[in-house]
Amino acid sequence: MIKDFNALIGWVTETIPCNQFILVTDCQTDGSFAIHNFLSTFVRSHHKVIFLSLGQSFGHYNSVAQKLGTNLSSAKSSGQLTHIDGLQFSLQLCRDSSEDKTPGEKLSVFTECLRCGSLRPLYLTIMDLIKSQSTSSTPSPVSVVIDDLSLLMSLGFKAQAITEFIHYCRTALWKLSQNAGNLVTLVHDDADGLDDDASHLVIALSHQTDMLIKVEGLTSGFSKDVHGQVTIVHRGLHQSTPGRRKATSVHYKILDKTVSFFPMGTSSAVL
Amino acid sequence: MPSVFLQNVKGQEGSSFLLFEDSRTHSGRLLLYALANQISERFDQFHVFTTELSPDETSSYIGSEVSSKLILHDIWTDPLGWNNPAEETDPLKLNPGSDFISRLCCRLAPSVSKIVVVIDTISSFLPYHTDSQMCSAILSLVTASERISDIQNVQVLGLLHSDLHSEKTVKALRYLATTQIKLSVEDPSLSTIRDAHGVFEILQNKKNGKVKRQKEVYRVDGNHHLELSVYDQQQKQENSHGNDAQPDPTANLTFNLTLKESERIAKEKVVLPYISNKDKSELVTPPGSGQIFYEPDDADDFDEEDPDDDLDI
Amino acid sequence: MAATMSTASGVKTSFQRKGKAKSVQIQGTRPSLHNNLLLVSTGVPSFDFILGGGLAVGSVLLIEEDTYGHYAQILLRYFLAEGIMSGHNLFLASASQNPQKILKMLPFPVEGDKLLAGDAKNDPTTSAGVEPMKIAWRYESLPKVEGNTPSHKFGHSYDLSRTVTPELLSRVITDTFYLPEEMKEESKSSPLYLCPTHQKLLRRIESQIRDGGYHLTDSVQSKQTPERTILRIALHSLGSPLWWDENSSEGIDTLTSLCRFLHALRGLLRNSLAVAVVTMPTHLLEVFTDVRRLERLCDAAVQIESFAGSEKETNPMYEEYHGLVHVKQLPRLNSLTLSTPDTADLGFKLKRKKFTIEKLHLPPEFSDSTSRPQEDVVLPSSSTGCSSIFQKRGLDF
Repeated sequence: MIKDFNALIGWVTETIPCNQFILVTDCQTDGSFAIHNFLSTFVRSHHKVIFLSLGQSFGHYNSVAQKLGTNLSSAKSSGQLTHIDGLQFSLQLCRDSSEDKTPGEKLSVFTECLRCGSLRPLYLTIMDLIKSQSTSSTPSPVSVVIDDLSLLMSLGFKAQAITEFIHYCRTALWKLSQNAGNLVTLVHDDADGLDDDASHLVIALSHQTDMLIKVEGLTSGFSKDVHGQVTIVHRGLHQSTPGRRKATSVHYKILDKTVSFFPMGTSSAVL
Repeated sequence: MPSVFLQNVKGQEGSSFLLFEDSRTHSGRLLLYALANQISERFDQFHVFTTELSPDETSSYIGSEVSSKLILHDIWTDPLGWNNPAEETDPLKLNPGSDFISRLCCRLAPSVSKIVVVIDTISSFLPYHTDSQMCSAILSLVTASERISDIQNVQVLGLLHSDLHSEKTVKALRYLATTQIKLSVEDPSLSTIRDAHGVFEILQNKKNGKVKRQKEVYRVDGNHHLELSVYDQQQKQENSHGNDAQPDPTANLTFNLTLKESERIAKEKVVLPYISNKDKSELVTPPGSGQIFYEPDDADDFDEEDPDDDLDI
Repeated sequence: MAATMSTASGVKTSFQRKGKAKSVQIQGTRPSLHNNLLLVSTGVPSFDFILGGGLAVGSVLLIEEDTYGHYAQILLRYFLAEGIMSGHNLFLASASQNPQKILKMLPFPVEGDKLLAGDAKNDPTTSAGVEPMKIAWRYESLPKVEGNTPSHKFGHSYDLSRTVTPELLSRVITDTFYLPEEMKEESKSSPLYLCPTHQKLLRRIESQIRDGGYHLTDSVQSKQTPERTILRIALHSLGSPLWWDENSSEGIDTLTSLCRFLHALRGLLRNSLAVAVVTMPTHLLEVFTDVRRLERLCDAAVQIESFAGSEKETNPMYEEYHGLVHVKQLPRLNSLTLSTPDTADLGFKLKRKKFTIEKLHLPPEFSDSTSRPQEDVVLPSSSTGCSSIFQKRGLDF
């Protein structure tokens, strides 16, 4: 699956491209397979990975990665991967705001974020991790993976705050220059939604992204053999050769240990 | 027909504000910088306020001829002062009315009279300012010649992601613009025009009151040179024919799928079977001809019960 | 590449997921085959099947209530009753009804009498055996939705016409949270980031999990206490106006607070031997994107649509059913895939003794000579052009 997916997005060489901001959006389906893929790809390419998971526990990502043939927990214990457990953010919030909290006690990062209404404290945490990763003896690219950004919105942040946060994550990676890895994040794009702020986030981020991976459910409804459609859009200057198709769309089907991609209309159920 | 867009290159009308409106499917950055490069060739300084691209990425848009004139104002690396909390100036949040100008002045070389200013992008400033603040900031740039003695001509090129903002904001900026360039929402990669980057519509508001409106096709080559042609419907069709002519499924068949006009009329005249009784009797059965009337006599064993009564006809 | 693979397989043996180690020990659970989860039953086998075998321990199921909340509460009661049969401890919170009353209304397990009798012999497991049906006994073993054969210890049968006896209820530890009572004592400082009601409930659940030893920290895990069990958390009508309490929490959007609550709950459960079912009157929310946000914060989400009081009640297509089940989201845990049901069209029936979820199908047609149901079906469509002939009722043959 990893090879197939990377071929799809044009990553065919042994060393993967760097210094890219990759945005995954999903609409009426689940695009998390792209996140799993990037996690595995970065770990295999010997990138240092900083992974902020907001919706699922590390065990979940580890189990999936194992099915894809990558061991995240050993990467974590060896220090190659640093995991920030965002799933505990709200729980910390609850603990921080309870009465039996002593005033002087240090607040958690997320509580700090809510208190100042911006995600700067979280950025500084990531920034520190990036710095510590890049100063290690063996320099290798540092990549940041965030899954999923929409959750921050549910937890009470405005689209603007999230856009600022992502912007700063990009600058933090860029400052590494030679060792800049990629920034990958997932946002839910409810195209049918009336939620202005959520769609604002998607639009604002897709203006900044270098590669947009759009995962959509089939508009025609549920199918057992085709789970949806992926569209890859390359943006930026180096992609703007005229005549070249910048966007490619394929259908996909998620299997237990892999995701198979095929040109539209060529599902095994059709042929 | 000459390209209206290229008339801007000369900048003869004095200071102006060109507003590039793009959307997420079609970025206007390529066109913006191509034009800015071309104008800068005859101008003294080339200022770029960059908020969305890193400095190296921005410079990759700049042509080699004008790179010596480039002055980059980097608002990308630390737009909100998150990295230096001690410093109190947030470049994005600072009063834009004076900030653009003061930043410009700091880097202004002596005896500079003609400058190009690119704001890439206006969208990044808008969340922190009201529409009127933003408009007056841009106006202060356009009218910089009134405040700074040496300056005679300022060409301001601003990029706006119009799908990010309310109609009101977009209109406010359009009001200010001497030239509006709206990039087509259609994804250029899906366009049927060969060898082009995309289509845009230009609306030029001349000082003599004339308004010119035109659709043009653009293409930027590897050396940042701009090629333009006027867009017309014919060209589009021509291209689309040449490009991807749909295969005709009725060609090369051993049987006939198409109908001539006469055949079609004949076909329509044919009365299909099972058309309701009434219509059919008018058409085929003239009254009184060949009908059978049967009168039962005593010998007939007439069954009162309708054998078909469950059919409900 | 080869190097990473070999290390991967090397660590695989030492890495043990929490579910795997416990699966043998905890009663009323079964391991999921393909993604290493520990499952518990919802009490309704057909519901388990839809959810991919059961509820994963550590996950949250959202039941979006029907308009009057009746059927959603029945599911909640099943979930709790199954806890009694499996020896799981219960936690029930409600704002509108006294949870003690809800507990008294739990359906009576068909094997309940035997279980109580077995208690005397101190051997509860053997009694969970055969449950004969006197008439139509064959149907008892039929899968409710195809392919499902519930094991003896996983998913039990309940008699909705009887309620659980206090003796049965006392077999497990139950704890309740009745909002009006809990909120009596005014707290001086209102919490900053969550509604006081949510805050209070969350603190309570947290202390339950911590004090009850359901928490899966490494130190506890190493002790391997054999009598560990599951905590079933049932939150009734969370998100109803009674939980809002807008006055005392100025500055906090109730929806945001609810989102934070669910996020915290998920974060808490992921490290615990606990499973939660939350029913929520989502039809009270105006914006459906808000509903989707809430669904995303739960692992599975199912909407119950009752025909009661709606037009569908009289629709002949639905005459077999009491309502529809809309599967909004299925759990995707430890896996790329999720269990996809054969069909998204599901209906539920409530019989006197039983609640089942089935594939929706048209009722068999019993035509008698006087009334002809086809006409009802054909006539509405006759307005379309092509079938105008039917109206004249005069066919040519």
